[in-house]
Amino acid sequence: MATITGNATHQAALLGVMASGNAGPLTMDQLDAVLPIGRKKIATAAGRLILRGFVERAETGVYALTLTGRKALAEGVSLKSGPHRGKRKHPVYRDTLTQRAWTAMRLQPRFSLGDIITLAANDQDGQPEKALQRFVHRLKSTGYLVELPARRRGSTRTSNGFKVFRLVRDTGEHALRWIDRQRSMKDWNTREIFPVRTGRARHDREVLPATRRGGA
Amino acid sequence: MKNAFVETANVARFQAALSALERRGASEACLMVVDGAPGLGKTTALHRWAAHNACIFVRAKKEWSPGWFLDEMLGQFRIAPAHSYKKKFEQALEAMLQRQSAMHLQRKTFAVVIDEADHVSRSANIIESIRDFSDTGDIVFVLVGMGKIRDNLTRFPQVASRIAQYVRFEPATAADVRAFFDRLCDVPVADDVAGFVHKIAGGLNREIMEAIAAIEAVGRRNKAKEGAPVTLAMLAGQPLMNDRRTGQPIFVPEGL
Repeated sequence: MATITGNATHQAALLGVMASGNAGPLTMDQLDAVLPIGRKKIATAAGRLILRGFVERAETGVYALTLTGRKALAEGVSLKSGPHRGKRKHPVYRDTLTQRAWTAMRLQPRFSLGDIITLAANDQDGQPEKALQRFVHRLKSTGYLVELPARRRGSTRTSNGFKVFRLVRDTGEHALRWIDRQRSMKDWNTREIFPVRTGRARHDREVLPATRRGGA
Repeated sequence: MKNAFVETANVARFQAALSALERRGASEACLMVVDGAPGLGKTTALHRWAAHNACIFVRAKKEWSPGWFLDEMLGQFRIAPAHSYKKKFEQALEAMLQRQSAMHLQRKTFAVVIDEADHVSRSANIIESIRDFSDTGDIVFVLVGMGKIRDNLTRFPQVASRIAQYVRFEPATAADVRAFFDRLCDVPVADDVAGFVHKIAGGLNREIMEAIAAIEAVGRRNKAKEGAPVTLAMLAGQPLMNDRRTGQPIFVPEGL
């Protein structure tokens, strides 16, 4: 019987187990029950997969596949042992409105857009409402933010109230950045890229039938 | 109501204390204590400052142990904590020093803000851990609480001597209330209304915000504009805010 040796083999085995489940987070106990290697080896392999960006640590001893990991599995990427990339360069911490807003979101358990504007906007920021509305929409469509069912009461009599959000995927200190060319958001903490469904297509769908009716 | 941050006298005092802290003589004296009654805007001011300076912001828990404290700090950096206290301390110190260096290049002060620090101000273990961090890495710690911190820290003279600045958040002044109306209120408001709100709100920010919402509604109904601001006469008989102690609404008296 062939023995499993080498870190890449362990990583492949771990990735295989994570893919065979329901793609949800797996605890160390669950992994230990399935894999024929020790817990320390599992932790080492998981650490290496985290460095590759294939797996993330949901909490201590709990691992989950990332989007990059799922893609790699689907494409059948072979995992080679040894250094797989150069020294990772840490992204620069930028003093931008979105970075400040992201930090403010991490500070508050639940928040409205107004709360974030109050905490993050400077007098130098041109139109913070518009910029942060876009940022919040993109974070929501990539699954980082969820909208809570209860709204915050507005100050005017006919107000519908304000949407309240919660940050459910706090991956680290660096804010997600918009890549316009790819219509995607990049998470600099996990190096993952998430395509964002923009409002353009929906707008087209809404306009098209009206134009047809007008034409007929 | 507009979404904006109001620079009150308390915030100005806090900023001045920070500037003084940066110019301190003894490098190890890098602790700061911010205290004051609830509702004076301490947490909002500190949240804003932390968001602008990429600071670490943790909320102390009643049963915090040194290990739990380090776990929360490492959680803020998204670092998986090691098992031993020694390794956790090293992990936290390294992460903080890296962040401090990055923020120093941007001419910003990196600090660790501990909110609700009253919970830990009597715990020698945690206070000594904080002292270790500040001594080893000259890391600024801001302890935020409700007034017991100063007294409790006198039990630890070696820590109390390292507190470079004390900032007490006081009730909002008349000028602060005027600034709240100017910066947040959608309708123009006369000085007599600002004076009345200052008097009945007791300088508490939450109550002032409540009053602004009520005054805006009246202002819109009466089509208040520049040159014809909301006056006390317009507000006569209207509920302005709820009394924090009794929960009863406070009305503007008729005939003021």
